[in-house]
Amino acid sequence: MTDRSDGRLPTDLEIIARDVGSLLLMEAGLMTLSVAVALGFGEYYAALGFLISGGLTALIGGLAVRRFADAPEPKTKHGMVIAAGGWLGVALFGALPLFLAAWVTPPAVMDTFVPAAAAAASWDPIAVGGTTTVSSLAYFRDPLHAVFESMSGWTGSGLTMAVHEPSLPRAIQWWRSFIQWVGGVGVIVLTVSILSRPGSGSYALYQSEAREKKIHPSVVSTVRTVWKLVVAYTLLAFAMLFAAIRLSESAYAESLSYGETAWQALNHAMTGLTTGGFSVTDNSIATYGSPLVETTLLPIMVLGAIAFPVHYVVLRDRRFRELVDDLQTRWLLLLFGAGVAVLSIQNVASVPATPGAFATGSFLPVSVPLLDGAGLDAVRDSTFQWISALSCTGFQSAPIGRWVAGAKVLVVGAMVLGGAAGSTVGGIKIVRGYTVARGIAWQFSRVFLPKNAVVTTRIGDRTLDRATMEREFGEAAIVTLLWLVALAVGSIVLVNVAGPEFGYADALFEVASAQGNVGLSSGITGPSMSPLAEGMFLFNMWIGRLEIIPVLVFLRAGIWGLNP
Amino acid sequence: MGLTGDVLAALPVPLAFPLLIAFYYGESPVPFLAAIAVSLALGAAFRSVGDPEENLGPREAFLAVALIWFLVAAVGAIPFVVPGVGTLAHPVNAMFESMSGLTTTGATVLRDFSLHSKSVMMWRQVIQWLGGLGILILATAVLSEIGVGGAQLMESESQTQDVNKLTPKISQTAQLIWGIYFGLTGLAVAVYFLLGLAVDPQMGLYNAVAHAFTSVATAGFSPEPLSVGAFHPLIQWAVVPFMVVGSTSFVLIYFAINGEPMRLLRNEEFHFYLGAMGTLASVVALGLFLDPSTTFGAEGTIRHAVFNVASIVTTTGYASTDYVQWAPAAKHMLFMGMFVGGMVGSTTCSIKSLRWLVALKSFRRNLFTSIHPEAVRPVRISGKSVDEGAIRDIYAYLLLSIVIFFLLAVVVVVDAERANLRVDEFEALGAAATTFLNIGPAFGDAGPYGTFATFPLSTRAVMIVLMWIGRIEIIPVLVLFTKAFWTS
Repeated sequence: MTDRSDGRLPTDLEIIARDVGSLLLMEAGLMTLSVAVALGFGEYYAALGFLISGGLTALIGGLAVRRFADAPEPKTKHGMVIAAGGWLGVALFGALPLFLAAWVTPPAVMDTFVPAAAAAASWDPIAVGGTTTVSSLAYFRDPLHAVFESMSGWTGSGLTMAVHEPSLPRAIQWWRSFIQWVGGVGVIVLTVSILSRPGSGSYALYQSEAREKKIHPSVVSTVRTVWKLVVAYTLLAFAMLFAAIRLSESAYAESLSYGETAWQALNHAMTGLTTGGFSVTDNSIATYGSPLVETTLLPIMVLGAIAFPVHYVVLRDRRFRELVDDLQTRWLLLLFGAGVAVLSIQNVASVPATPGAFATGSFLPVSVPLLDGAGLDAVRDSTFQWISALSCTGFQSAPIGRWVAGAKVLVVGAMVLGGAAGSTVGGIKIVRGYTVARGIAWQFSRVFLPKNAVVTTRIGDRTLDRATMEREFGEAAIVTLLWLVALAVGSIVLVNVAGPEFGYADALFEVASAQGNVGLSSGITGPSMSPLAEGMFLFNMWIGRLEIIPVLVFLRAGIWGLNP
Repeated sequence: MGLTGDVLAALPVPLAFPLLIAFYYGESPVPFLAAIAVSLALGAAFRSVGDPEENLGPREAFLAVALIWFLVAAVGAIPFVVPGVGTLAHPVNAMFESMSGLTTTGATVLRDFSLHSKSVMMWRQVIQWLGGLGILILATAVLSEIGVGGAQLMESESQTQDVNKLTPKISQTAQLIWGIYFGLTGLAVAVYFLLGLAVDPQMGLYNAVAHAFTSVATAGFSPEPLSVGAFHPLIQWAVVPFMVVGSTSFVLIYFAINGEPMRLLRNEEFHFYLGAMGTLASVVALGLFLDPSTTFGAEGTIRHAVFNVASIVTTTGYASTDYVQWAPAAKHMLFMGMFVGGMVGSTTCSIKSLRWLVALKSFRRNLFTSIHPEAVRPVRISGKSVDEGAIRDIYAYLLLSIVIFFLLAVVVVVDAERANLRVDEFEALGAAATTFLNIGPAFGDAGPYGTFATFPLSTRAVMIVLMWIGRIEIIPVLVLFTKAFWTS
């Protein structure tokens, strides 16, 4: 810590406060936009909540920006701390609208959000201010629940404290989807500009700019490109989903009005494309009970799991071969296929052992050899859940908690690996897994080579010399190891605080889901979970989104500063 | 090949010990005579194939190590299978018991200890002691010289640069290490026997020898169904230091005996190892004190916490009480302790303290270089900077261990489901860790007073392979499957 003269903060802290402050200003802008959404739906109490939170956020962010406006430009060493601090700050302030809306909305008004569906009668009432309501909005009166929801949104996880999403005000539904959408863009910007150091597993959108000392110009140009792509894809996904829900023959889908269909299609397009996973329906995608909707979501989630630099190249140059030429995309597509097959086999084989996990009636008009109704349903669920897990989306179409441990563990594998670096997925990312596997093989066969042998390795289209390869392996191995250690410790803690009805496989599943920013749940996550586990999940989601190292650098800087 | 033959041909020497026991107690000598015959025949066969003048390089060493461990275990299984009583009559079980013995694991498939003759029970102990001896030579003379998986970081008494001449190195190290190993075993026999005379008649000469063999080897078999819990508390306390010493680097013990105790006492790995054990024992003791369902009394609580944590962390696998009955949190602490392990260059198994210490220090270094990319800062252990290649070896080793362990756990769960056996996922993880990391008992049915015979046969077969891979530090087996091993 230097520059303690004239009572000012250290320069490093000023830079960080200024940049995190400007992120908060942006968030305040998003809140103001959401006021309009709330007013548009006539939800005046929610609008008030958004207005107050927007004001508070703008005040704090504005103060930080004004006060430290003359701080120097950030350098590489600030990048990680700003990213980790920014994510934390934005998640904390993003909880304000949820928290305030829950407190300013009177219980009587909350009841008006509850849909008239028969199922609502069986929901658990929540005590608020001397009375009860079944609207899930009331859960956000607990600040921990509100922060959890916000962190889950900003990190694109999708684990939720709102047990019954349809009973939330539209504006709150919108806010959950919106922060996942913006957080998704944020993470792409993060991985392709700030974190794209050699060996970090990420790779740059613009190779030359990423290595620059100044991070602002590269971030700004990245944001512009990514936005255009994301908006275009979201519109496409919206159109596809709208058509799919309208054409769907299930009773639930047919009961929806045009407006409601459009609303659900919009929200699910936003959270599906950015592999977030919040939904506005009560049982995620299982609510529709529609193979057509599930099939439509598959390509949307796959799009979200492909690295954005690849999208960029494919769309700009019309070079579709890039999908096969690019190492990560090739492996991603391979893993989607192989995983679906393996998980299907495991689930079909376990149908007799898991009563209630799979529907017995066939959903196809024609019969398929070797598979009865339940077997077909197992294949369908396996397909959707595998793609949802590997793309780290977290849409749920099946009661995974009832699956056998072997199937859960397979899905854990998908959630730990995740999709391609440079997209919105979580997990350790394919390129890192690949580097680690190649590196381990290299470390062991090295013994048989002469010490001065000239060795090169190819990872994708890059040819690496020995030193680069070893450095890349070292970096990838550190993140992977820390990831696994955090997963192991987290699941042991969780199995002790979760109820006795959950086994170790459930705990492992849930922690892998939180840390991989996936959002699938075996049933542990909910408003009644222990506050310790809830707090731990906050941390898991945070470190998972930032790939651990930036958070540790942030914590280290918080204790010792940036200069020792 | 020649080395493998030599080792097999030498097996009749240790086999003679249970043979004498058999004569003393008037039991059948046939099992041991059969094993002696087979080992002599196999030894001769391998010797005739091998060229006695061949140079032992890394490639040959790996192959020899993998072969020796497997073949000795196979021969060691003969005395178990020949009498044909109890669970050991099945060849897979006999092989499991023998591999568990030779790898100093200590996981057993015995159901009823009383069925087996005293001489066969002694062979279980002897084979563990042999396994401890074997691993000492492997760790101090072979792996540290070839330099894989971070084993090159071990402090050794001489550094040769020429890895193509391992044979003189092995015999030279062997002489130094054997002396210490024999001495410690003798001391343990004396201490146990005298304490037995003083406080517990059950600890006769037979049990004193049997337990001395398996405590110095951090192995964990016991002829008593209740393990060390069968003896007086004083004897339980006396076992702890022998387990701890067995897990301390024998090279550093050698220095300590030869007037340089500071090299041991100032060693950071030693601090880390004792610190990890102390912390876990304190936490477990605290947990037991707070748990109203355990009624051991003050001394008993501390004794059981210290004993069982030491037993797990040193990878011995004795038990002073059935810790399966403890609260889940205490069991989870023991589970975490399984992954620590003792020091490199000892009879310990598991991942070993040095690897964790280097990984931890390099993580800290990485956080520093994330902020200061230009800085050059080596990782230091006990004042010496660590080679970057060794750090990466350690990463590779850790990742590989975790992956293999996890795959084994999946196999245990899935295989149990297939056989309609109710195995809790935590029990499966424990059983996977305890076999792959060569500790011994796990949780649930496979607990310290239980048996691995409840697992399906296929699971036990997989466990045999993984005990083998885990004991010889994964790499000598895995490199057999790489292209580089067979080409160039």
